[in-house]
Amino acid sequence: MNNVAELRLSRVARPSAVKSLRHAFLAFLTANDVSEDCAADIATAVGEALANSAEHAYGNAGSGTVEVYARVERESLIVEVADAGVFVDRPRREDRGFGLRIIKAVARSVSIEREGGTRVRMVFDPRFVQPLEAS
Amino acid sequence: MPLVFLVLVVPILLGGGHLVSRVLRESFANSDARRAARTLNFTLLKDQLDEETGVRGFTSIADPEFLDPYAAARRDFPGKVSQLRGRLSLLAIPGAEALLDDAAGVNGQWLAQVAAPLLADPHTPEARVVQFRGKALIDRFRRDSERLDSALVAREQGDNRRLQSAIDNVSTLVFVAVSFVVLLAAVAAGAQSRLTARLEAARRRAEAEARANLELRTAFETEKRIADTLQDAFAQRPLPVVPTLVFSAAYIPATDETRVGGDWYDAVELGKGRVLFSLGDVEGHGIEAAVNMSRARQALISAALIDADPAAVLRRVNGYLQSAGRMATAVAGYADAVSYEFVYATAGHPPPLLLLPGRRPALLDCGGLPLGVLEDCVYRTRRVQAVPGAVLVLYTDGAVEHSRDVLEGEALLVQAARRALENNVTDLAASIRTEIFGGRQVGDDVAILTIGFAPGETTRMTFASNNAQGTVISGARGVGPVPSSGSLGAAA
Amino acid sequence: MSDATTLTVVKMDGELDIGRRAEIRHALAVEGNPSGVLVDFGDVTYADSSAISELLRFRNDLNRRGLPVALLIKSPQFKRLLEYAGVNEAFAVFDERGAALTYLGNAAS
Repeated sequence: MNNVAELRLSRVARPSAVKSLRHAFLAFLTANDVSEDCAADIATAVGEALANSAEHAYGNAGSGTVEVYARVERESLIVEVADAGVFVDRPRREDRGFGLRIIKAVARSVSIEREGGTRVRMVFDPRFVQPLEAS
Repeated sequence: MPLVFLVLVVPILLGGGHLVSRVLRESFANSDARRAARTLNFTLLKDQLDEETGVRGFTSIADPEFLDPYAAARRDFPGKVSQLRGRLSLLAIPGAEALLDDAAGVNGQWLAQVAAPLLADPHTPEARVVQFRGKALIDRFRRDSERLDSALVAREQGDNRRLQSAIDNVSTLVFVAVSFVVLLAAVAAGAQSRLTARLEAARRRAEAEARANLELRTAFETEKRIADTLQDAFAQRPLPVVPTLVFSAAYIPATDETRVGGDWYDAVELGKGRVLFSLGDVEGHGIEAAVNMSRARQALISAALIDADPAAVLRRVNGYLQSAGRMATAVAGYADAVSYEFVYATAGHPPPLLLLPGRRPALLDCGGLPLGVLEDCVYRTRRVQAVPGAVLVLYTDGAVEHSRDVLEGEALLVQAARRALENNVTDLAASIRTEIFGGRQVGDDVAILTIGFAPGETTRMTFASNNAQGTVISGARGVGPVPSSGSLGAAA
Repeated sequence: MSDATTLTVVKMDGELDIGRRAEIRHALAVEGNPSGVLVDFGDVTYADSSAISELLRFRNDLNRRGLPVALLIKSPQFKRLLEYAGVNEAFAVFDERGAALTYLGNAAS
């Protein structure tokens, strides 16, 4: 993993922006020689954090931007998704906390800072993300 | 502000006043001299004329009495000239002194060329010529005098004009200065009031922000206190004291208080030698998670008291969480001290770890959907036959999801558990926790519960409780010797 | 007993993420009394937790109505997603249409 060491993107946190950010992130992973399945799962996890931003930032006056920052550190990939809103474990009544559960399943570690905005920090080990055998 | 105003205006006024008074004084001094000069000028002219009249009179009627005007003027004239000269030099009117000199010179000439001969011989036949020559001189004198007077008048006018313009200038200056100062004062007052208004607004904003921050912080601290209290209350559940069963538990809340969530564990006597155990993780954090968790575990215990079958118990809890709209993972079941069985069911929870003395630790079957996801969800009860000395280790995902990957986390857990058992540690859960985490910070809540069948004939009673900071206070009372772990079962 | 030919098929393609949530919900709002529902996500390339939420909601609804559901999913990412979310056991997932239809036929009878 030594091609594109750092990535920083930011967009207005709308559901439509989540898709383009996710694709850009996936391209970043591919550029860093992450295997297809690993990249898909890492992009999924990051996509969940982005979607969370869009869910609570969207419609909120003034808390509109979500930023993705990723860097390669030794053999780990550190990704931070940050916005100025409040991370909501369960945005809607009928939802469950699947987003966090999915991130936990893929990332080695997740930490969420909730002060003055939300910052989701995920650490991935692309070599160790063992995509489960499809059942 | 008024002070500044005074400080600026007063000197200006004083200065202006001083200037004006100086000009006035000057002009007064001047006008005195001018007036005196003019008077002297007239007097000199009159004197000269008187001298002429006297001489003419004496020439016509050779009576000395007719010479009186001449004599009087003669006495007056020189003094007047020098006085006038003094004034003129004071006034410094260009050409004035020259005129006076000329007039005085003319007078001298007349005295010499006209008065003297006629006074000496009034009946001289040249009297007419002399008088004629005298007339020319007198005319010249008169001209000088008039010119001098004009100059004095002009000077007076000039002086007046200068005075007026000086006064005007000073007035203007004072007016401008005062206006400027007033303007300045107005601007400063305006600016200051604007500045004051801005400062005021900024101060109000800062106050409002500080208030809001304080409110937020207070709310956060209140929530944190409540969460801590709840965590305390939830964590401190005494474990059952049952002969032939050994319990230990450890609970470490996440290091970051904002991430304290909904982990719990419970062990409750059900009677007939059965003890319920449950351990779970309700999603979310903060007070809401703590409250949901408390209700969920209560629902679980209530259900177990009705029907101990783990699948049925989880079904009931699923129903509760469905309506609460929350998700949770859990493992629930009971240890049967009569049959030495572990009977359990899982709902989306990591696999329980079974430690059999002398055997390799085994991760048991798990599976099942998390609670609160699917209505009418069916869970699966599993049974495991154990032996005295066997220990079941339950944990939340925080215990295994901290390291490189789950497999490694599981491996660490297994290793820690086995080692703790081999070392006959009194408090298994604490030992496992310490071995996995050491002094490291805990990213996610961790709960560990162990349920063991007492080895052999020993009755060991263990009481363990934890405070919210995660330190473990435990005591053990051994009754009888503790057999070594090698006495049961075959070596692996 | 309902006729096997009254099967309802819901089909969606592409990426099922938060941006299409309303669309997913609308597509899954199956009415009537079919013998079963086949959700054809065979051409879906990506899905996220909002798709899972909608699917669960849909699943619970059909459960209440006693209607069987089969999911046709070919994307490896989607299948892994279900496992990561812990809900793979909530659905009958197939990667081949025939198998899905067979399941629904059996479930209906």
